[in-house]
Amino acid sequence: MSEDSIQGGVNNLVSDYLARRIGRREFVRQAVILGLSLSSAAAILAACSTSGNSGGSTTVKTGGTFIEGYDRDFTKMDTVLSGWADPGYVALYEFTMIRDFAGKIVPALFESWTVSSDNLTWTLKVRSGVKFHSGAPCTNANVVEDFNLFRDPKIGQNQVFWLSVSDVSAGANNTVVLKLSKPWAAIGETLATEYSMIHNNAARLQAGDTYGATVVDGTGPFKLTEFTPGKQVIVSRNEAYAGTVIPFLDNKGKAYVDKVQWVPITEPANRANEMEAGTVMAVKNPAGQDVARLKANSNLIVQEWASTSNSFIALNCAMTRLGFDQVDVRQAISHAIDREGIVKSVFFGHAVATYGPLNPNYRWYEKGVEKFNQYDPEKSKSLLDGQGWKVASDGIRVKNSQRLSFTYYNWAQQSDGAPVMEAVAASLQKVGVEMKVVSLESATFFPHWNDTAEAFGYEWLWSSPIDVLVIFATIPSKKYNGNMADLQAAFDAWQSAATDAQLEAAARKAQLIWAEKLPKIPVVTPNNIWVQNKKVHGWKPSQSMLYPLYNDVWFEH
Amino acid sequence: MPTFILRRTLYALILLFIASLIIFYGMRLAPGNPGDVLLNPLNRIGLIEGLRHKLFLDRPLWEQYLIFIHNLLTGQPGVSLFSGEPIPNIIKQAGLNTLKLGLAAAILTYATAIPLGVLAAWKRNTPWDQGTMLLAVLGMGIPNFFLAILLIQLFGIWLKWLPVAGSDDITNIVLPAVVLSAEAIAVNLRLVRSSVLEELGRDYVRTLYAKGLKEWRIMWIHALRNALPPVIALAGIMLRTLLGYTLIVEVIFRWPGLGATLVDAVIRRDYSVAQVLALLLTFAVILLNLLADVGQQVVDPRVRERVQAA
Repeated sequence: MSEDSIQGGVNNLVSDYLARRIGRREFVRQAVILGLSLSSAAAILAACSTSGNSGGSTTVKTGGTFIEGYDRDFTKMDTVLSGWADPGYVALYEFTMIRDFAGKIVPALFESWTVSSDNLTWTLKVRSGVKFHSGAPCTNANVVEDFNLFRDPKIGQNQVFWLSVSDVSAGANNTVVLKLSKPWAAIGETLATEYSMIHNNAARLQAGDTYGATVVDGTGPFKLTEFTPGKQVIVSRNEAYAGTVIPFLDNKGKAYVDKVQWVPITEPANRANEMEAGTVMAVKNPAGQDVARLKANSNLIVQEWASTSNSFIALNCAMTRLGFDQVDVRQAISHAIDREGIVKSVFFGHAVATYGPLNPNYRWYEKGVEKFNQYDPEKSKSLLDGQGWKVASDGIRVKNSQRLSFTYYNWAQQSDGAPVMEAVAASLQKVGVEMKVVSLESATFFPHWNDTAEAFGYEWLWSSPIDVLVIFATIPSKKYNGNMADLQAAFDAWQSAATDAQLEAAARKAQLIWAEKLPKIPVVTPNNIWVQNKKVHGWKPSQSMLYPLYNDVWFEH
Repeated sequence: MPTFILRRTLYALILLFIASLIIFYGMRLAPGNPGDVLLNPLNRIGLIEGLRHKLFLDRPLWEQYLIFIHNLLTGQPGVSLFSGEPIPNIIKQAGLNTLKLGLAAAILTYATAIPLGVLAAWKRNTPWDQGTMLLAVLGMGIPNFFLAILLIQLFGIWLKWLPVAGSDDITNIVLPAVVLSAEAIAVNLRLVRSSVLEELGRDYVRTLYAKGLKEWRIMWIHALRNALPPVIALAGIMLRTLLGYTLIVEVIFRWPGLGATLVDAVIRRDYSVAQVLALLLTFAVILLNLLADVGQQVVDPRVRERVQAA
């Protein structure tokens, strides 16, 4: 290992420790792996502990209500029926498996698992002694029942991620046996989402439509106390919590704080205000223009990184009159987009430009995508000229009396969607393409996901991104996405990969094909920005999880 | 008076029936349905029909309307599709918050506008008058969202005197109530001033001065009482406007009231919640207008006589 890479590794370790993404023990362990002596690691650790970032207090103080601002309003916390997972999930339920800060899947409710030699059978061992909030035991039978609900096409919201699972049954010694129709090493990715968390289905059935709102029966470190959309969700410490085996949590027992309260701050500009006024102790995603001010506040810690999401423009590849069936036209449109300019002007720098379908934070990000889709208006013009699209007197290109003008449906729910697309439209205008942006709320937006739409856009958010690409290549239809055989072959390889190496190869190949052929044009990935008061400890947002866990959280009071 | 109230009540019931039809069909005419919002977009096609059946959306519209009215009249308006919360709970919590905010703003409006308006008329063309008129111009000129930002910055972040959001403490209501009432204070202040000035020019006031009554008595009792009818007549419209403005204030100050809940429900096509809340707000406006009409009769015998004659 070179001196530079050791230095870089140590810097990353220090950052992780100061941001409390790793504990002291993990710091020392990783420092030794990097080649540092124990005494050197201890010296660095001591220096870190005296830095201002640690907040000054290291003795855990229990009790109190941790108040966190949430950037959305709340929906029912029902893992079967809900289309969105709120942060309450990670307090009320437990992950079956979970990604650590490096993205590696580690034990949680499943204490261990084995995979058969043919990679078709996964045997998952459920921890013993785990109980639901109601006091009912949580066993492999509950897991089997829930998994069968998740993969039921009639009700499972995320059933599309369970297609490779052919059977779920209870095994010996509190195990669950998953049978796959073909090998798929990425099934762990599905199991490590909020939508695979285990609930007590008897309680769910009894509660009916109110489950997830007035009743939640999970095994998590907190119990539901209040669920008032528009106002707050409050959970109280589960005194009968069985504890956790999640390796990266310092606190393996009951939670430190008495309660966690989330308040919805749907107006982005209010998030910084509430942080500065002290109404909340932590908040996600303040407005981009407020981030520099928050970073300058010595009472606050601000962390940010690209989220596991991406925004795209879906041009209808079957729309021959607009030339969208031609890869040159799609590439021309992509080359006309000034992504870096959008990052600066719309996001104040708090986003990353994406040249392939995924952003560089993805563990198997393929850097080769960056040779495609760079901002190059001249190349864009040349490609359009080559396809016979000539600039008319009004500045818009025409071919066979057809103007290169189309309607783009934007999802108004995403607050940065409209300004991004207005900027894209302005870029396209310069090369003679007219994009008319129409912003619609969910109820009128999603019905436009059909084969008659000229173009639409979306920003997905999912912790297993290749799985999302597989689905988006079929939305609204394969024809709309150009029905690309080589891309499908890469996805097939992903969906039958038996090892991580095979997954990685398939993921990289899919990214390259996507970036070149553009079934959907990537634009930007906004950053996830996490702000906390320095008096808050153990709140550890991570790049690999949607929300931080609350087991370790405590605050000085 | 009882005949008048009875007649207006019947009128209100007819209005409510018409409103229920407009609200119900208006929601259904809008494109999209709850499934487009509620379901995971990656998987909505497969699940949408099941949801439509569950919500009776596959039945004829008239049948859906009858189900809605039946549920309403039997006191079972249902639950929110998104939160699962029973609608009576939503009304109880959000309605109470809106009522608190509306009342606080109304009290602040009249407790400020009436004395300042009388004072401005009494001390006409003095710095008192000019000061209050400047206040009125500012109140009408500054958009309420901008005033909210200013007050948050000043009292919440710099001085840290008042909370900038939430609803748990009594102090939470101060900033939203001030923002909500700012324009109403300005309008009423000018109205009270001009109305009192008009009264001060009348013969009875000269007579009262001639009889040697103290000036404050003339102002605060005699002139004010006769100047109030236009203020009361405006109250119905003013309170209705306040209800409309609550939406902006609720969003900015994270005040969990009916306005934001209703808008969310409409956007999400949460039909049951949107219909019931819209009807409730319609009812509130009709009731406020009724109260304003009755109040005007109580205060002004001339109006009472006109109604009786009609």
